[in-house]
Amino acid sequence: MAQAAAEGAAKQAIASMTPLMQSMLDTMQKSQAPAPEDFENRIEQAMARALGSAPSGEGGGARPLMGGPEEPVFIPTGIVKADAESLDVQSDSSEDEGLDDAALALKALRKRKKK
Amino acid sequence: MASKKTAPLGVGLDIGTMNLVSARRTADGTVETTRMRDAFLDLDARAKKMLKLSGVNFIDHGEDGIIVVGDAAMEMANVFGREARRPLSQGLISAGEMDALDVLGVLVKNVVGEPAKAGEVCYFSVPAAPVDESRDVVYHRGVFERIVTECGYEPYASNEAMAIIYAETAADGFSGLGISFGSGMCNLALAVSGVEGMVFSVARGGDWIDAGAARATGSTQSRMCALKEQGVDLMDPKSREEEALILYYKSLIEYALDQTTREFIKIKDRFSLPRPIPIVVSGGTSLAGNFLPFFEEVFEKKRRKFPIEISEIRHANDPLNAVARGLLIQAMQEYEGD
Repeated sequence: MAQAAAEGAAKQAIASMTPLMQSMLDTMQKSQAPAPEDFENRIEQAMARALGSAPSGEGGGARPLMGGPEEPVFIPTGIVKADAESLDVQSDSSEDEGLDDAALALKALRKRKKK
Repeated sequence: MASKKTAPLGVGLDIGTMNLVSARRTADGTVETTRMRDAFLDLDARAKKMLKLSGVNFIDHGEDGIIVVGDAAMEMANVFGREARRPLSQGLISAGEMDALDVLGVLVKNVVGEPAKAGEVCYFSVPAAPVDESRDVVYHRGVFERIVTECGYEPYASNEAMAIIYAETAADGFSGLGISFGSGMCNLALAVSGVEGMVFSVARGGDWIDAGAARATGSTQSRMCALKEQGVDLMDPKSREEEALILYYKSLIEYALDQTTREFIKIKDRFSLPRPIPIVVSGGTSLAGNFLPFFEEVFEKKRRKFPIEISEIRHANDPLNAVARGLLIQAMQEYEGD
């Protein structure tokens, strides 16, 4: 699917580039001028712009953008269904074993830091 | 009339590659932990009748088949000669598992249960980004924030290894090096007086041990995992396969310690340690027989060059639930003063 998308994007880029390239070639032929020195660079840049504007093959709203922390990340909604199945789970109860003491100690530590 | 005791608010949720574990206080003062295996198996709709009779948990997708979830998924996988699928891979949501999100939604909803009141605080674990792979945790954290919210809670993400610090080092002033040896990855955190100095993860864990030992002996990863869970003594191997497991356990511990050295050197100029600190080891992979003396033996060979002065090495009181308990301690703080 990704390959088909890439091929589609490339074809679209070529289609949008063809009129521009034809126009440039026509101009060069009429003026009998040599190709500009940065001709290849110009073509590459124009191709990059054309490819950048071509749509990707897969729906943009269905997949998250895997980027760094500053880039937007799409998170789908409705993951937890209201009628989600109830399953048998394994639950154990154990004595506190210092949990309350740890919570109190953490509270005290944070209070000291605030002062 | 005596007033009815109500359970204190706050929930901790440990999201692991192998298990999901929640912890909450009960009205009678105990701590209730709930666990589900983080695995699922898709089966043909024809298996529905058989599973209904056996009382196995499954999600019914009608003609599309059924999905067995939790511990039963591992058992059924053995019955059908298949591998159970895992929504998480190496500690993070598996991008290749298209059914992962739906399954995770069901698993989390069942593990945390209904909130005691709307918007009850739920602290859930997030691994640190691995230092040995280019993966970030942004999507993973975002998905679980969404899932926990949709379960009716107010979500707070918190580092997995720091949860061990909160659960296990109160007597040390919340100072220590916490190491969570998980299935998909190992998470490490260094803290002094509750201040996080360094957190990171490595993309190796129990699964990596199983895979390596399997390759070394021509066996399968499932067999290695089963061997471990039957009980292997790291100080006394009884077969060639156990020797292979031990070799990879040693390699994992050495790797974690070496990465700790590398990461600490980066921060040592701006984070001072006023006194020696304990190492606390936790996680399902640390449940192997004699893990602690084995770890100490490996550490002793590195102690001289280890940049952090260590006061002692100890096991978490409850290695499978320590992260969930540490997250619960943090969740309880949100209600202090209520």
